[in-house]
Amino acid sequence: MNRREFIHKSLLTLALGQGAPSLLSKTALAARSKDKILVVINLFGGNDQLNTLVPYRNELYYRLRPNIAIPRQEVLDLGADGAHLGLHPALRPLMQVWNNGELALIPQVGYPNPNRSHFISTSIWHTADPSQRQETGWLGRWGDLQDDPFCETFLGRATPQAQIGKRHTAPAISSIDTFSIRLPRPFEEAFNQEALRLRSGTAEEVRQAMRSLRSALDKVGQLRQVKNQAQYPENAFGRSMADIARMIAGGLGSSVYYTTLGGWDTHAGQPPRQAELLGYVAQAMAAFRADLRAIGRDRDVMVMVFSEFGRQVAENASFGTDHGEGGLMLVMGSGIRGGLYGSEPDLENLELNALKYQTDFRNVYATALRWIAADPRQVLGGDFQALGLI
Amino acid sequence: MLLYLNNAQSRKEHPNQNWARELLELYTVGPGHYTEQDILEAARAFTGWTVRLPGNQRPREASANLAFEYVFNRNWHDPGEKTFLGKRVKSGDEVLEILIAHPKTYEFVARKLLRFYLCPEPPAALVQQGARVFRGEGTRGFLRWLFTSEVFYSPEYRNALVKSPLEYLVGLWYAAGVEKVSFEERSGRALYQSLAAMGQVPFDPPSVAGWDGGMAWLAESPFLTRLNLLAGFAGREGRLDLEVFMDNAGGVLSLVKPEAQLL
Repeated sequence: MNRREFIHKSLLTLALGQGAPSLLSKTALAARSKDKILVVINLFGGNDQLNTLVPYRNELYYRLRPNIAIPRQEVLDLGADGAHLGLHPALRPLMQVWNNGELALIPQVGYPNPNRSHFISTSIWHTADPSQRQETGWLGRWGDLQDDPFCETFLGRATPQAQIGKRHTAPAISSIDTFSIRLPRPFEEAFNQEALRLRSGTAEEVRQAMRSLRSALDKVGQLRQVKNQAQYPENAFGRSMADIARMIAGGLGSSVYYTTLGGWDTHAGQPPRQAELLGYVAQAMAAFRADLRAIGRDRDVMVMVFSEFGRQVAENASFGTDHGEGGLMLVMGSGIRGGLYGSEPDLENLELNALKYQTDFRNVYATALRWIAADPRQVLGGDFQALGLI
Repeated sequence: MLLYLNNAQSRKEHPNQNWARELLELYTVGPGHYTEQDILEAARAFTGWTVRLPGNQRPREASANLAFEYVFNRNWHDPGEKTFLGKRVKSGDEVLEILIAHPKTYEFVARKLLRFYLCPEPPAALVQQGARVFRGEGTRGFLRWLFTSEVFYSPEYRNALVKSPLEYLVGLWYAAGVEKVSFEERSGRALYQSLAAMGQVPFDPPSVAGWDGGMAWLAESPFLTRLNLLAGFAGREGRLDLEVFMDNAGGVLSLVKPEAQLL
């Protein structure tokens, strides 16, 4: 059975309420839904798919990238299930996850009429609208339908558009341990009072931000005594993932956690920079998985990694690559079906020097939304079928 | 810009598109007024635009504070004909000439300046007027026009902008009569951490587009940092002139009011 048939079959069973029992029966879904968590990792800058998921048996890859291609002997072979593609060596910590069938690789994920601007393509991914009419984020729109202001949380300083809805914005927490008010009592009391006084115009927007801050301070304060059960890499991204694990363990209650890692815009000097960044991602994801297993939540969590586009096939004059179109997504979780959801890249039929997209990202979003028992139709404004990985 | 956006290494065999793209998208006409093909053609036109140190010194051997200078490397330049925005060109200079003559460039920059100094959504008519002034009189002329026009002082535009971390900090120092700040000692390093936590390290924007600004400055974590900074002003009651910092200023506790965050 090929992938198309497999997805078709899965969707049929979904529609008829039959098939793989506990996954698809209505009562079972309801029982699991409140516990399901989605973690989104946004790689900002355009991660190069070809050096991450490497077509190392294709001669053309080496001809077009004489200086920056990953040497054959360094590539981690994915075997027959991975169409004999390979992973960048820095992703070694994820090989065990792949071998356990808990890592899904989805190459060339994009959308029609691709845009190669960081800001426009990022906005398209965040709003889930290639026509660029929507201003709200896909998770923001989901959040608008929930009651809890902490239904979703952002790990970082500035909540991304993806998590901004009409009525609600996900709270932005840079780190659990530094998130406390350190002012003399009179100031803190005055702050609490000002947060209750109705204003107008921009001052009222600021007051609303004060109320959100007050509520976040109260909730996050309770998480400080929660400890991690795994060793995370010592960098900002590792710390964010460690904090997400503590939030899950401590019962913050969000169904969605979101964080960003920048630096992927490798126009020059790509090999060392991409290797370092992929290392950060793989090590933090492996630690996160170990942590979730230790607290018995690994079957509840789906981690989804994406970037706003991939990069062009041929290298440029600066040992780097320029902006392309569809890029690689990764999905990790003990409750998902791992594997390659796509095919070997066609390095000959390019569009303006880049690989064409194969899978629309909204189908991956639909999969993530179903995971947290949300209605993809309501959020995405159209019919996008989930992939067969759940 | 040639270094930051990698054009200093761009050669005819493999042109680097980064500079050409951002020139159009962020600094002149703005999105919607060019195609991907225009970017490729502009990138070709800018091949060979690079930098060097005076006297051709090697970067590793020269003083760290020695400035690079522009140089045109003919061997790296793609001399063929290009089509840019419908016109036939060969050089990067011609690309710049086309952009300088383009009316959208002036609209785009005028709107950016009005968003920075006046309000988040400047009225279209004002943008058009500003574009005309900018085109005829340059940046200085534009600012003079804006700061001496009645509309700038209109109440509807007062407290319309959220202070950036730098505007917030400098405003506080101004109010406290602080005249000199050093980033050298330990207190300086703490300052640097605070600016980073508020989301704005001077000269180090998160991306080539700069900072988003607006209510993004007041997400939970950066807002918390702004508040925690106030602890340093708690004992200065008598020496604080909050009138220069915010509307609705009373005693030092006014600093927790929403107005303290607004320009």
